[in-house]
Amino acid sequence: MRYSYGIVDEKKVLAYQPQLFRSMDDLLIFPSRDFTRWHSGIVEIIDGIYQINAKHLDKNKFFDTTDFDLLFGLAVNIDLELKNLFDLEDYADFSHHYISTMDPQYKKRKNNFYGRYMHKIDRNMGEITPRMKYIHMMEIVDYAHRLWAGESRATLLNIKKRK
Amino acid sequence: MRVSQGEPSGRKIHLYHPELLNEHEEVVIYTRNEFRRTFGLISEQVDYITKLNMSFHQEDNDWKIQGYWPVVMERVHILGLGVNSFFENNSSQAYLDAHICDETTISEDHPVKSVVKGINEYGEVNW
Repeated sequence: MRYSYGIVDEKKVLAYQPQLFRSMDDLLIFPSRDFTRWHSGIVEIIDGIYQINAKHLDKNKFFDTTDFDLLFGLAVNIDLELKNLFDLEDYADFSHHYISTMDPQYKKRKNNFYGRYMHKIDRNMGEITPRMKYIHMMEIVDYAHRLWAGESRATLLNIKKRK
Repeated sequence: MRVSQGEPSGRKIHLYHPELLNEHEEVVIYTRNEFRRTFGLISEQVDYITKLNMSFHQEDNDWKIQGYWPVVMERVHILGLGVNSFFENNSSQAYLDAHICDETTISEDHPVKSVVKGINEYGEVNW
């Protein structure tokens, strides 16, 4: 995304990199201190989500509904931040500024592909009974018989269809 | 947050609401179109997570979360990319979204040809 810093000078803005914008562009101008504060707030929330996800690195632990509710709560917070961006009466809280120091290995995409192949993995398997084993064996025998008979008409006529 | 629209004219940018910004204050400038795309990208991912969470509460299936968690984390990953792109000069990931512009045309059922009744196509008046 193209962006440039600038400074307010006599009720106009002097951009540091005015070459990025065309003359017909519609521009949005934020105070940089407020905007970086807002940005750091969202980064903090996303880091929180990755902290919940860090549980997944230990394969013996599984997620439950509370984890999902926590993630949902953080998503609601992001939504609130997005709504407050264009609220004129909402003043930024400068008491703290979050700088992400999280190890990037926690932010890597890790996929076990269960989500994609869920319906294949969860497919139900029937029990294998002796009767099924017998039918399977006889199918193989039938196939072998057909191969052995080849294309000779006499032997083909002798094959009975079992079912 | 205080925010103003603006219009570039040469090196300077004219503000729509100059009273909101203080004198000699440092500002960040974005193009409105790109900002809207990235903002929309982030809010879309949040909406997805919200809808998924609501569907879980209706069915109350704990075991399904194991499968849906990677899907949700993929959304969070896209969300993170969107947030990071605020301070990167690279082109935004949101540009990959297909967007079909709906250009509705004005219906021509009742075209207004002339206000005065009785004027035909050639502009002659039938008395």
